[in-house]
Amino acid sequence: MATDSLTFARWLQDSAVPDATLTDPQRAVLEAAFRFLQQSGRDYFSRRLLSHVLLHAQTGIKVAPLARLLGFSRSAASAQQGLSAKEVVQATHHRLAGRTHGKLLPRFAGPIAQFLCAQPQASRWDLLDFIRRTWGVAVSRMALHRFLKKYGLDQDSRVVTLPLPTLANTEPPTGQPPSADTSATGVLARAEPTPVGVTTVAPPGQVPLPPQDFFLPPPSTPAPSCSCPKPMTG
Amino acid sequence: MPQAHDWLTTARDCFADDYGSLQRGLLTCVFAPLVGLKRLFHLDQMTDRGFALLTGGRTCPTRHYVGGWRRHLQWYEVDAFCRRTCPWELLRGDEALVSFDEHTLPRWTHKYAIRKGYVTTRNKYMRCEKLFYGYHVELERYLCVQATPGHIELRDLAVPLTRRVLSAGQPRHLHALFDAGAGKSDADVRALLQLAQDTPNLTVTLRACRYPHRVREWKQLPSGLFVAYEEPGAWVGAPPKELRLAETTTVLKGEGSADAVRTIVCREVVPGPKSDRWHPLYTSGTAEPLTVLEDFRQRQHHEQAYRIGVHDEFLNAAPCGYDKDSPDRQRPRFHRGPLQMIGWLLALVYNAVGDLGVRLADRFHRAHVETLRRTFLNRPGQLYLTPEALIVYLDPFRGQEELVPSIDDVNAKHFRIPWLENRRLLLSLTPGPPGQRGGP
Repeated sequence: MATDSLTFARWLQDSAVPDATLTDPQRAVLEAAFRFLQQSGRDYFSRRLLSHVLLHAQTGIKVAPLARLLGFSRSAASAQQGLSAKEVVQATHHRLAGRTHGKLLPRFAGPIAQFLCAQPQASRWDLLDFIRRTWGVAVSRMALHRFLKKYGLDQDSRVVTLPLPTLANTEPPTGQPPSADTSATGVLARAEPTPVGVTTVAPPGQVPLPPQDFFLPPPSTPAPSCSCPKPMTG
Repeated sequence: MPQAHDWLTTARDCFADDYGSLQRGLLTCVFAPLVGLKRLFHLDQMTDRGFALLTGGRTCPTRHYVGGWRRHLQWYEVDAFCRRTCPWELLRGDEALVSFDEHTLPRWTHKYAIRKGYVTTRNKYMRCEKLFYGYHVELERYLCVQATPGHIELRDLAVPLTRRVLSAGQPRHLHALFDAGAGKSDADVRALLQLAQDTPNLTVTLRACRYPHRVREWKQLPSGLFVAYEEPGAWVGAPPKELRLAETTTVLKGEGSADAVRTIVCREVVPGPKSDRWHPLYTSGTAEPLTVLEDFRQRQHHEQAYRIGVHDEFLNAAPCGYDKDSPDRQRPRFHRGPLQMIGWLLALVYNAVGDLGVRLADRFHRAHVETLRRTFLNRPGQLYLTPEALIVYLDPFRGQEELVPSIDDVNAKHFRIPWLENRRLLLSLTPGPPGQRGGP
């Protein structure tokens, strides 16, 4: 029993849930949850069932600590909060049957774009494997196709990596608003991902140039300001 | 970005954009302080591609272009913009604790004889300009702004600003807090208290000026009137501070004892040879003295917001309000527009950063702008441009998982960038360890 309590304390400690902040009912619920995990193991399905119970048990424990205790991300736990018991069982059956599960989130687009730029010859299966390794989600080829098409990643050659500031075109900025036809669209037609040389020359007549009196006149101070340090005379 | 775009949409309805400089000017003025650009002329060295895209173009804007835009802002257009972007929803139908105070921007011009005012941080009477803000001290958000020349004082604007918050904000109950500058004369105190008397849902508390004859009266109060309270010392292990609170009334000049003002006298006992500190408060409320004092002390959040504005958002670099084209430099005209616009944009940025902090972990809830900028905003990354989207892929950094909910929210808004052929904005983080699963 002493070992159990030590392990329970360690479980809380590893999940950054201070024991002192728990009320007696919360502690009792978590102890029961801990015993359940000890009994049934820490596989995905046990944790998923347990998370559904804890998230809907009105224990007063916030989502983030519960997610840490059960090894889910906070956003995943938040998503689980809105599901009914039926949906959870359906999703579990779906996953048990070996079908695809998980969802391609918009924030996955960055790593996928990087992958496509780094490995332009990669097949869709390579990409699916990358997604599974990176985020642990298994999606169908059709879902991946829709995702890539939605964000313009379906043709690798059309993904352009904008250069870092040190590599950027060092032309002096003009400050003019960009025009529609000087876009990177032309650049995007290139076959290889190359740095974009963006020009901001506005077509004549589209944006009127401000008159000269729009800008401040040059400084009219006749001599250096009195606050300037006096020159050394030796 | 979506919030800045909302401000830009509002600004398009308010400003006459004759030269097409509104978009770049406004977005640059919003994002430059956010990324830590201290002065407008630092734009000359800015070559960051991400900053260029943020500010509505493909190359970084020039200071002449942005400076030209903000110098030509008309006061009535700026007023319209401020009215439409004030976050009145924060206090509509609610009980609000709002502080009104001024921030003084010192000016060092010798060429133009602009009006002088007292600058407390420099402890001197000098040329300056002022920004008056209303500030919700419980939510820590700016509510409204007014720019003035340096000789205008809080007492001149206390009543109009309170009326504005009452009429536009429509709170269920407003408790207005003022520093001593709002009640330099008894007539100013009476004006505020009269407003509170005429408005059923208004309570006014202001610090009383410590004029010698008043202090003498308060010091002569019988000791039995004071109730002692203890509060924690300045540091862990420090002896507790002793406060003594008394409730009395003060008769204002030219009035009878029937019109005496309720006064909470706070005596802070200072151990050692130094004399005690006295903090008298006039109030129109009926709350307990300790409650009045605790409410008033929250005004410190407003002062703190000014410090954050000055040091993290470079508020003192707001453009000057005096007109450099005035025919007589000894009597320059005052242009309220540029000063008030930049002051208000910085306040909106402050509010937006505060909103971001609330969405992060608890330790970032009241984080300063500089903290969030250092931790989350100024991060290197890679930009990918596709025909459909601009993908911002941030390099890994410690604590990035805190940003996941905010990033998911931004991505879910399907925000499109008008100056990039309506491409969709997508934010991405470097994937964390495999244990952190992405989907449910």
